[in-house]
Amino acid sequence: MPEDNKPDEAEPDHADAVDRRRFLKTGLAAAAGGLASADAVAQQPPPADGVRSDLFMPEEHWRERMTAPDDGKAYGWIVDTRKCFGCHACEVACKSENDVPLGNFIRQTIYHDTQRANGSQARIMVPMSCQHCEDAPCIKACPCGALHKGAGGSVQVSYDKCSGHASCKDACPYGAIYIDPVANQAVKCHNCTHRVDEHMDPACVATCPSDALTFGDLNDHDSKISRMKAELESEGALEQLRAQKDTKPRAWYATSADHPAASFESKLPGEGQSYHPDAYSVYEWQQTTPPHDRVPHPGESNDDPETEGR
Amino acid sequence: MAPRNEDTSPQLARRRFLQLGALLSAGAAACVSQDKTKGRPTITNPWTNRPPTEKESLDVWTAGQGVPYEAQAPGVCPLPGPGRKTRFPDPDKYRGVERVHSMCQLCSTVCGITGIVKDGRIIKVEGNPNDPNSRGKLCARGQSALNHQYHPERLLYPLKRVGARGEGKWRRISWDEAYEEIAERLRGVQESGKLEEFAFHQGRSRTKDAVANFLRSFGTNTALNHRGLCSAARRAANLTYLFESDWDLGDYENSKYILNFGSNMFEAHQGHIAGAQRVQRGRFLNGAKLVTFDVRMSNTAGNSDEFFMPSPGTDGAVALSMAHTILFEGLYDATFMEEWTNVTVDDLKDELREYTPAWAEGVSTVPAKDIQRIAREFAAAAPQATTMCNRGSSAHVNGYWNDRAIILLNALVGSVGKPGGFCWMFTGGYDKKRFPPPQGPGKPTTPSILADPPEFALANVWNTMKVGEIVYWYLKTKRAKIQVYMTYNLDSPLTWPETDVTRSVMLDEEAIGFHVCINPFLNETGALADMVLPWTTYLERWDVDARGAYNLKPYLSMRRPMVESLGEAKDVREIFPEIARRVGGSMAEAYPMAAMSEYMAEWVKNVPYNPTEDASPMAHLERVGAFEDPHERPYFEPYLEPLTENDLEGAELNEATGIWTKDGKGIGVQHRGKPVVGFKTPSRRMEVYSEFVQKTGRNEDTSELTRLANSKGKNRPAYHEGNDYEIHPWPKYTPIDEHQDMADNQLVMTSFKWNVHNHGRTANLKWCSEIVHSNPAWVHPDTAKRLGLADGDFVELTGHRSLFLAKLTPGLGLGSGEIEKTLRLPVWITPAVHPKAIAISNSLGHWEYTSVAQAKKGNDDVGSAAAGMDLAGYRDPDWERNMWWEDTSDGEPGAWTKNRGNGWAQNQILPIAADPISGQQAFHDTVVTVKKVT
Repeated sequence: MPEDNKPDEAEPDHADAVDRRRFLKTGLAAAAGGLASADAVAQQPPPADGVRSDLFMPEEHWRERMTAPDDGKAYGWIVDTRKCFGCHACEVACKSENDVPLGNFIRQTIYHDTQRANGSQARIMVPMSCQHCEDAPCIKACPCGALHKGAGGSVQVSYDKCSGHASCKDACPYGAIYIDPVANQAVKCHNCTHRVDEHMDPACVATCPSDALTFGDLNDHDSKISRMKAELESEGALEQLRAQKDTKPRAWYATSADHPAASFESKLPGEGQSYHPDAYSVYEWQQTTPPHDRVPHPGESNDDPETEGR
Repeated sequence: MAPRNEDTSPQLARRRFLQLGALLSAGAAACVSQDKTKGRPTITNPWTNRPPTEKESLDVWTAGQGVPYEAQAPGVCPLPGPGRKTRFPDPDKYRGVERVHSMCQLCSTVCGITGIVKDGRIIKVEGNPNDPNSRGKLCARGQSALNHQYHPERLLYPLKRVGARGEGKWRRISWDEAYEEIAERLRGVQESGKLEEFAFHQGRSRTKDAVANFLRSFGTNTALNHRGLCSAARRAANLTYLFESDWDLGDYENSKYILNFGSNMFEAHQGHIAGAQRVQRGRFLNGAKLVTFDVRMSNTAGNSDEFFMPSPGTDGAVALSMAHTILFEGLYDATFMEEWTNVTVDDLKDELREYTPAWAEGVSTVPAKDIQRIAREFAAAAPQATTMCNRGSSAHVNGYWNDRAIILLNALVGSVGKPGGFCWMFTGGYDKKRFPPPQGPGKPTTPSILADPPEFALANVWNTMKVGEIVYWYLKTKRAKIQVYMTYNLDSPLTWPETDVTRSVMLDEEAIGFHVCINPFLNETGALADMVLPWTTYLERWDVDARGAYNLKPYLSMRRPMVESLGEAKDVREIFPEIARRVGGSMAEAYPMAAMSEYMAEWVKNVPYNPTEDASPMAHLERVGAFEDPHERPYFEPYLEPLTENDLEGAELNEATGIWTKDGKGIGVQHRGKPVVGFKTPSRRMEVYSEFVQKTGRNEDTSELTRLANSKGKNRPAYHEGNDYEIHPWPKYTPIDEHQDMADNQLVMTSFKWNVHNHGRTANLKWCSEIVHSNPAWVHPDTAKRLGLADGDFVELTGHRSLFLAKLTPGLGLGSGEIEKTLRLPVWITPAVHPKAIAISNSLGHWEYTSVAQAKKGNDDVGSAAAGMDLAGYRDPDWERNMWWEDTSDGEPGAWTKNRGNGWAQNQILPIAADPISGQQAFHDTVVTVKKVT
């Protein structure tokens, strides 16, 4: 039922645009008592415990997209910080697999130089990417309805809808989303479902020399990930990042007792941030916060985009 | 301004939206520029004005990034812009592709890879799970293969210099012209009668068969390499004990204790990915403990279970004091010591009596109680205990002694050749006897002083390691001359010590008459050449290859072209026959086989295969990528291999020594009443005490000894006469003179490698350089306090030559003074480096090797070399647009932004420092005077 102000050639891309628009008007008015200005949105400090619910659309807008397809699979991750030795193979495999532009990262491993109990030095390496939250705040915040659950509950972006609002980036508690400089669209880990469907591992998992990354179907109790999860849980070695935000991430981190997530959590990017290229700088290895305050993100001092898309 | 496209285009639909939106939002707020859009043009609401043009649309979309739709046009969600992603990720990406197995060559580990090829283009490179060594894993460098293959600045056409050497002016020539000139030059060398003045210098070659054939057919022995800069001391130490192998392959996967002296296996190491994954499996599946001693916290050290920081060059002291603990606390394996070493425990105790843990603490700063505890743990875990070491312990002036001390520990606890212990293989790669490369005939070669300089005792007596770092010094001091210099995959001006020496010699047409460089890119070497030939990448090449096998079974893999070579790039397998043909004579006869595929099929003809699965051995390798013999046993305890009836026929037993000989040559030894092969050394036991090295040092005849070893070993050539050294036959510790009594403003400069870079050829890979492109110097907070340094402050370093070496080899004429050039670079203050040290990576600071290695956005500085490239055909908009780490400070310390620029070249101040025992270049010992730059 096209509304008055919609042109005759209703392009298939926005078949549901009508319904969405109605909801959007309602939703935003309700949320912030009027038009939320861009400045106000940007200036919100990232909440310590909660999520950016101020950015969320009404539930009717995202409920369907938050529901994973009925394929019986539940894809998840186990990241073992005790095994990772920070070789960056996963990050570059991902760059290669997805032709990620310089200055941006779908996957980034954060280094955390610290002390051991006996005073000697240690380096903890933390592979980061989208946590594929079951209760994904990015899906809730997306005004265009581009973010949704794909195979196995993978949180993915529809590129026929995404128009680069970056509300998802503002809402992501893990800084896992970047806005592609040419496409002006949100990009994040998509679980390499194009590989998984061809019976391949995600690009990062396949290459990790340390077997620090495990991906698989948690609904399959015989899968490597299920068995590993059970084993690590019984060891008491598993935890989740920023669990207090309760986004129910489908990623579990195996950490050592001496270097739990709490010891490096403050270094991880959060709401409104993307993986910063200067995170790799040696000058960041001993820092306790992400580089965003210290160094402008290179993408933001870019002046004039000139080239065409990919 | 009518829209360009027709009705159903998204662009048109969008414009209509915009127009409608414009009507709606006449009173709407302007697009608010927020933090995210800083630097972008502020655009007032475009929808109110006019429909944007095609180009503007992209600007508008970008400017509108992050602005909620409500502010742009209420009630309208804009469509994705013209640059939007389509089919991302592409579900068809891996359908209808060709998978081509091959081997990486971006570092020395040569992991098996698989290329995904679609429509004649490589779209992805990953690990080949069938490679028994790397098992499908591939590091960050290997994963950057596409950066290498499709680099805009790749050399695709031969170039000849215009103007003076090193001026940087080039013109394109044809391959014919190149071949003709090279052949003419080579004929000139032949006519001069000094065949050794044709020098071939590889940085790294995995095409040994073709190179050997080429050089042998010409008749030159001046085949130069980089081994002296790499692993000479380590190999010499292994050979001292074993003779059979120069490369230990710890069985980490089955180990319980891995004692690491200075190896950065998790980031570098010749067996990197193969070894590293096994160390982790040993730890996390088998409960192994990894203890690392390193001057600097590498990722290996940082991830180890325990980490200690000894003073630079003191690993040997720590190891010997551990040996002391094991000996004097009775923790050694008496049986192994008795049966399989050539020393008694009592004699060894006498020899090592002074090397107490307390003494070692004084020398190394590692607490004695920790040394003792680790030694006890190591012994308790034996035989599933092994040492691990590499350049960290061996690339020192005393490196040979450090490694001899470390290897001793395995002998003491009897883990030698045992599962989980200190092991090795009879071959460092594939089994050449089983799969011999087809070879042409060869002429005897003339001696080459450059390949076997007389000052270096052990460099060429087992394997020919050469002394690469002395080459340019020899040329500079006119002890040798090169008429034709062919460089191959080499970046010596960057990677060799004393850049000034290297460059000045390479520019000198008296020292080097004609220089042709074979490389896929114009690197620092090519910039100083007379002719540059575009080499294929490893993805376009044929080889049979393998690396030190951590399964302890030899394997064989193949490098095969994944796609057609780009442009006119050629491999030496094509280049050599063409040159040989034109040189004529016996050189031309060395190339009987026409097609490359014929040659390769002949090479692998002995690979077993199942005819129901594959048509031929070649087809089998094509399908799986690698061959490891399932019937072969791992090379555990090879010394226990019984001698066969055949072996013993006509053999003699020396009752006193227990050694079996046949025709005077050693074949085995009596062990518990039975004849076995034993170690392939003169004593047929593991040589803790080495008469061979002592005699070799003194230029004495060792033929009696090498006859019993019957494996490797020969005398030094006659012209080594006069260059005699006392090489102690026992392990010992040698302190480094210049490290004693250093001034307050002096530190020991060490160097290191990164996990995303190899020594000289990965800085042009954008995905690797994005992660690491800068190399500030690591200094300890104590140093920072003493010198008043903060993070990012610049220091000026002056390098001092080695006093130790000046005393040992005064004849070289290097002296013990200062290097003229100084190095200015910023510091990073970290407790992760020894207070006495300053750590700088040796892999950065390129001044050539593409815009990527120089951290220059775009491709503007290519100059006339562009004639050899196809910049337009391989344009990289990502590099042009998104590169972010350019340094705009122009060398001004105060203006430098952290993590910008392409780093600093350490070799400017790192002196040539060649150990006369093994020929090893010391990369971790340089005393530098440090001055804060204000």
